Amino acid sequence: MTWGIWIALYLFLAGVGAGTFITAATAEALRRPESRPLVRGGLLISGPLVALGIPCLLLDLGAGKTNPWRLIWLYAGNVQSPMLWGTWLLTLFIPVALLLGWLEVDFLTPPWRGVTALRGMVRRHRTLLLQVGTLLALGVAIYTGLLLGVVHGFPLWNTSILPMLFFISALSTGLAAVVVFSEITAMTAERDGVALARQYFYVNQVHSAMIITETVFIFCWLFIVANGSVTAAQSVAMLISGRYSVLFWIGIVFFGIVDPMLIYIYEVVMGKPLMPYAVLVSDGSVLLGGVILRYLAIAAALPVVLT
Amino acid sequence: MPRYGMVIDLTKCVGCNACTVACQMEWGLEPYEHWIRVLSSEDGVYPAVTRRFLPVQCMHCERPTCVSVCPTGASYKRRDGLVLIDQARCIGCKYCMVGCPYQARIFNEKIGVPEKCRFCVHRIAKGVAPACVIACPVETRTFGDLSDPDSEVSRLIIQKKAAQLRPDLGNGPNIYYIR
Repeated sequence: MTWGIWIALYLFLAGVGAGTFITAATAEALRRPESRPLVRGGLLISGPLVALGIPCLLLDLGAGKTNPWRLIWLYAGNVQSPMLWGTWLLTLFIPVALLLGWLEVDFLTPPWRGVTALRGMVRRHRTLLLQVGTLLALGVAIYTGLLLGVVHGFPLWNTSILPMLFFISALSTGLAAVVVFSEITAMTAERDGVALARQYFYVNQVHSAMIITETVFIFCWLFIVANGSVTAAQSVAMLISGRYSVLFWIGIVFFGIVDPMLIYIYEVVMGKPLMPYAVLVSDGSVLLGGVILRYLAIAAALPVVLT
Repeated sequence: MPRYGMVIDLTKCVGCNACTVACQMEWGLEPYEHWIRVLSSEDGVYPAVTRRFLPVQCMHCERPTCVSVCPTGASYKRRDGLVLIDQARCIGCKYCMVGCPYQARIFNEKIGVPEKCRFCVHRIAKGVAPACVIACPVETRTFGDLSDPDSEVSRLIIQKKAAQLRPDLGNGPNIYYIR
């Protein structure tokens, strides 16, 4: 497989960054009292997370690294290419996310006229920016699945469920990232860990629904692909029983699905958090599962047989 | 406007790789760089076994996936059918390599761009056949204009019922195989 760890990392960062933005925008729209930390946390980390993906993309390049002026062609070269769409989506999304995140902090505001004017403008158009940002975030979350999905030479990718899986994974990891971030920032501010964990009670129920959906998608993805061509079946076998089986069963199934679900189900049934800071375990696991999902989607892809 | 293509007679191919080596010599490739790959497979149960050989290279497809996914437009299809790479525009993202269902491209780490069979563009400009065609000791390869019904390639395809590799993939490859 030509693409490696940098592309897998980028796919994860783009997904989680878009997901944190969608989480923040949804939390704001729902207007629940416990949502405010989610809005603030989501907007703060969304831009930086997606922006961190850019150096990952650049590191994977060949001649583009030594001839960076060629990168301008990413915007105007071939409009049929999903990679060009992604370049535009990222270019538009990252500034919107960074501006909205900037609004949530008090530092990084030197008393210059331009800065104050910009901040005022962003504040006045905050709702519009949130709406535009959400549309762009949806694009960022889905297009990575399309980028892989149009490649008909790899049966593991060329299936309509892959963009859907990447989308739900982006939402799930995005929510997890916001929860982990707001929990850690609350910890460092030395607030009551138990009281804060109770705040995620409702969020964890939503998250359970997301993880159940994602599990169904992963199952359908592998089941349908396994019943495709010989190459398709071999790709799935690599994941289920072959060289990537340990990463799959422990990384995706245990950490990505079982571990968080056990914690969430305990909370719903018992009506209280498992332990203080339990969200760090459950949602940290979701994040780990998301990284490994992206990595395995790339690593286990086998090309079609020609003979 | 010609539509260049090739016919390869698999009933005669012995898997000697002269085509592979001739291509490497023509383009100054390193020994580990192959723009032509000769795949081999075995059929049957002893004692009735056969080995079959399948030379694979860039098919210069009618609907090349590499061209449609390339973001910068560095991969392009010429009007005469050749699919080429503008190495001055390529950023080495490798989407074309991932996209090609025939796995025809290899990455040149030294210059950071993918490379592949070019149908010896400099030779056909002078009316000379590609190096692999001349090098084949059993004359399995024929190169010519597929849009000309009287050309040798067109007649061979009809007479010998030559077929594309994996036509179901939809790329419309311009190399046909006689089996």
